[in-house]
Amino acid sequence: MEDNFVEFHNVTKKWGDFVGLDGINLKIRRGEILTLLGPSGCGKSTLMRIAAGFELPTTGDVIIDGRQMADTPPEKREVNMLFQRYALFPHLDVFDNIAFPLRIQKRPKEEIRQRVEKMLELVQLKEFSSRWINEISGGQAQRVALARALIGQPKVLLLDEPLSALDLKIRHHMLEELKRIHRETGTTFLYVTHDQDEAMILSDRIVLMNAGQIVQMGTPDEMYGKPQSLFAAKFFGETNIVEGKLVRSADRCAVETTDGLITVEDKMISEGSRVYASIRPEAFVISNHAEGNIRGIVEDIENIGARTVCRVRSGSGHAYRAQVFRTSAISTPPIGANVALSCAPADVVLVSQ
Amino acid sequence: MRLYLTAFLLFLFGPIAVIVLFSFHSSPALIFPFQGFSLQWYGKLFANAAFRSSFWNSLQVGVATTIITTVLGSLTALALIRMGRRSKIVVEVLSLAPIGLPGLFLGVALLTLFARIGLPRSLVTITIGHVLFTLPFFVEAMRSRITYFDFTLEEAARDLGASPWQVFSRVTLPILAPTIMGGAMLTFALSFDEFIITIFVGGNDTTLPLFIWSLMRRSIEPTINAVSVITLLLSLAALALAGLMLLAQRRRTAIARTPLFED
Repeated sequence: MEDNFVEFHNVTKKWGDFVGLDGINLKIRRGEILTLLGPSGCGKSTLMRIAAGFELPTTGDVIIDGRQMADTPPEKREVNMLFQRYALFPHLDVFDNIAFPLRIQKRPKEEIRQRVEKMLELVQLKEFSSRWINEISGGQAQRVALARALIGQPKVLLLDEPLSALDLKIRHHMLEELKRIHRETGTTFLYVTHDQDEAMILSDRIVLMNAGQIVQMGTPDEMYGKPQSLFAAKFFGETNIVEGKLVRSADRCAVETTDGLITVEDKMISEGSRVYASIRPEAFVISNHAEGNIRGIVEDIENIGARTVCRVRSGSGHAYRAQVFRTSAISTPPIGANVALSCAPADVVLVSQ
Repeated sequence: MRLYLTAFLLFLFGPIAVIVLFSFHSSPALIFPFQGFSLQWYGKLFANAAFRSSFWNSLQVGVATTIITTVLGSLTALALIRMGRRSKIVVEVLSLAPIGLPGLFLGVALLTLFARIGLPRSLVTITIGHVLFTLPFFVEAMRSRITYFDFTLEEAARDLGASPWQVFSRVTLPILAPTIMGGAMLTFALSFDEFIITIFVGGNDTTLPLFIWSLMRRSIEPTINAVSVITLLLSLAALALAGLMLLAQRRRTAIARTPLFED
């Protein structure tokens, strides 16, 4: 069911001459996790703050569940935010922090107690309810903040780089937690991050932003496998970019590069145009026989846990990164070895500038 | 190191100890050897009507000054942190500048002003002078702490449904309460001690420092020690009170919740 729950209509934000957001149109579906991804300064946080009501758009509007938000102050919007640095109230303990929104609404005591206890259970902090917030760890603090943001049953939960203040191990655990809590509550999540791994793990859909504009939007698989621009290709994980000219012969379509021809699928791009070929390190097959698109010498070998990445310097001086899977069948070539790199045409993605 | 610390502490607290000791001396002599304890100087002091009235005056002025300065100063400090950078620097310098102003100058200026507008010198004029004198100290005491105030807390409160007024009363004010209390205590102490401005704008009303000064002019009497000790106790009491209030606030939140978990 196509159910647009939050809509940004032509949202522009300017500060003086600086354009922070440039005509953003975006629709978020009910119950999905949508991630705004991009480098710092791309406008993703501003877009989220506009949804929360902390910033007003210069033009355009936000519609949440059918209601225009232009004249609605933050406290009247049915969205809640999870802040990067938790923003827990230091003068209240865990229980009172979580109870804060209900106390503001002047709910009866018994209801507050029950709902806070339910939230404490959800975030698995039952035994911490009377701790002061300087007595809990960063991961626990973020879970308290999560409980506090969800207790009012918001229509949308805004998450502003909520894991960036946590260390790596806890970050992965928190991602799992966020997924679980999303499953259990069914709340729509709008997640902001500059970390593509977080975005890939968590999201139903990713919106890639750059310089105040949406660059590309799609599922994590689409974003990784079918980047539409150089920026998108480089932003999602590691890739090799080779520049060249599109050539066509009777039976094949290829990119002519300084390292020879790289065969690609024919995508009806006009012959002779300058294109960039993006090839993921794992798409290369590394071999020692002569046939193969790119020939070079193994310059360096990186062992990254389960995978091994060879840096291959080609004849033209270009460095390629090619991945070797550590199985007993394939042995990693030694440094200095002459090798050939080849890849299936389907794994070469052509992108424009 | 230890020797230095001992000397430092002795230097700091030695005079206080001596004064406290001699305020209980049974003889009027202010020299050792000590000749036994007595409360006679306190008795003499409290029998003195001039002491009682000046003490009462100082309390009134102190409390009034503290209330006015705390309200004005807190508002100033809260406005200050929300200002743009340029106007902030100007206001900061202007509000801090009077600290460097000699009390003499302020006293003469106020005296002239009060004469011009025909305000008779009284406890009211003293209070006005004290507010003027203590305000920069209060704002400065608050500003240094308030610079670290995390504004995302106010955003978070807004986000969670609090109106601007509720944000102030439930988040900003409670978080800053200890700082405000500290500033208020400082203000009271400054006002209670203030001498030079008070001389100019005081008229016929005497405050405690003026009373002590008048005692000193005649002869050095041991009652002065007693007055000093009372002043000291008052300061300590103010400190203790502030501490207790903080403690009570914590306990109140703890107690308010305990019954909720007894099922």
